[in-house]
Amino acid sequence: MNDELTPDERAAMRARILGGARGITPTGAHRGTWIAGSVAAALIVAIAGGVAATSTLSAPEIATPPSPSATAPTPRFTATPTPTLSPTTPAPTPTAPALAFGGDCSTVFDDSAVSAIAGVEMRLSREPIVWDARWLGGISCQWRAQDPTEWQVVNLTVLPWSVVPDEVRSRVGAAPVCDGGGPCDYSERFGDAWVVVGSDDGATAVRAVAEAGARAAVSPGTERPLSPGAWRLADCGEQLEGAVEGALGRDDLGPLGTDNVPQGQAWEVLTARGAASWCTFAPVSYDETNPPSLRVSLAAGARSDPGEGEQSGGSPVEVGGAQTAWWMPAADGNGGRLLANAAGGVVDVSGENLSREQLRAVTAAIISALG
Amino acid sequence: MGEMWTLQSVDDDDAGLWSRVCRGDELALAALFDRHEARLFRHATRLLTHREDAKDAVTVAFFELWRKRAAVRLVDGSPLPWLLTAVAHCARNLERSGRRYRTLLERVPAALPAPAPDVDDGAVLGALKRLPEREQAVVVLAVLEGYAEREVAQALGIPAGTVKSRLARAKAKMRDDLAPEGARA
Repeated sequence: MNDELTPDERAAMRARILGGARGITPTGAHRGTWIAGSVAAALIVAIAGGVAATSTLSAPEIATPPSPSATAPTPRFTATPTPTLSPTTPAPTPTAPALAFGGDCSTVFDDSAVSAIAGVEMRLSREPIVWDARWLGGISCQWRAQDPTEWQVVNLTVLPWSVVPDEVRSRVGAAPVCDGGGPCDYSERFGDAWVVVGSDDGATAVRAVAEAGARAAVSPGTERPLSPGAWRLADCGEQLEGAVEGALGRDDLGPLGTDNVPQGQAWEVLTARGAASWCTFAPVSYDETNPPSLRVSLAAGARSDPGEGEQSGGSPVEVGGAQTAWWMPAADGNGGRLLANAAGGVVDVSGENLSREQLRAVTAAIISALG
Repeated sequence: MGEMWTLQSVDDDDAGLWSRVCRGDELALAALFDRHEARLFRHATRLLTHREDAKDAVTVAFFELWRKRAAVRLVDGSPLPWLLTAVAHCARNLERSGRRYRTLLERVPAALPAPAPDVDDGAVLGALKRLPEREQAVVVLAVLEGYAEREVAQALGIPAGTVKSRLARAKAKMRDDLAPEGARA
């Protein structure tokens, strides 16, 4: 096919575009409703009749909770739930694990086992915790390809079956949807345990679930309520919009158009239980050369291990309202990440085209807004 | 007509045209078409088999640019990366919908000679078309169009690290996809 338009074709297309534009009503920069950027996918899909309506929102890179630190298998609860047992209720057996797999990812799989499943050399990730099933009595683990030129990720979550809502239960055992960007995860029930694995291909997810399942059944964890002082999470964007705009001195922020969003069954469980939330902020009008953008991850009732910030190259930083916080500058120097523990949970703020001081102010405002 | 933005550069650059588009100036949209049609159409022809589909993909991309102008992500002031991504997604959807009718069309007696095989639509582009959309978008911008990772990240609204991982994943998939064909050759 000749890859140049003829003058007649060019003129016809130009006239068509000009005429079409006169008849097309622009969509406004309506706060909270627009999608943009690569989200052209969704736009075009809408025009083409929804051919791939399910394929544009996916991001395994952040879709599943990061793993807890391998060096800190013991969770640090800010408020251990106090048993409210009646005198007639039998005491819990002391050997029953409170967390699935005792909260230790290395007992789920060692690196070689995951490497065999994935087909490349994998290692347990030590990225800081944000969303973690341990706060509901489960465990979240992530393994990443050791070779930096590889990309494979295996995210495994085990939770007590009692925590899993009906919407997710209905999908247990369903074949993973991986092509086109759908959530590539697979789950099964093993006794009182629910095991879900997200990966880049369905076969890996199915194999990992099968290999972990029998052991999960004997260590499913015990359902835990969120701590009494945990943040009450609703629509993150609505909850935090005023705080973020106030901290940055702007009034033109809306969601960032991106297909890189958390999703998948583990995410659905955490959000259904009020344990996790996520939102983004960016100017609704892109007339800035380097517009600021923010990604905010919230984990109610959680607490990040103090060692995780340092392990990820972070340095302690003061943030208003936070008990502890770490600053992790971006490798390219353009923004960075701020991870903070507060009384109500963990907030993780990643920003681009924003300074450390701006991100400190935003994080403090978020903590204040969440109460 | 002698407005300020026309003085911003001799070529009436993208930023100036975009400013006018945002104010509802259809002629500025047409000027953006004049400025980028060659690159966009060439891009569409790499992804689509039929010339009319390629023209439609470019046209729809401009319609969407106009319709969503309040929310289009610019890169260094230009909507070109957004347009390239829109063309790629539109091409993908056109190919998908085309498959539905292909069987039917093959049964219809040909009134015209069959078109010659498209030499551009080779194995590599076939592998590109089979990538998931989000990976295809990164390949299109980073590899075919030569944008820097930072620019791709900005255009797609994803972290730079995600650009890297998607690109690595896409390249590996394409390599795997092409390997059997190479072996057959």
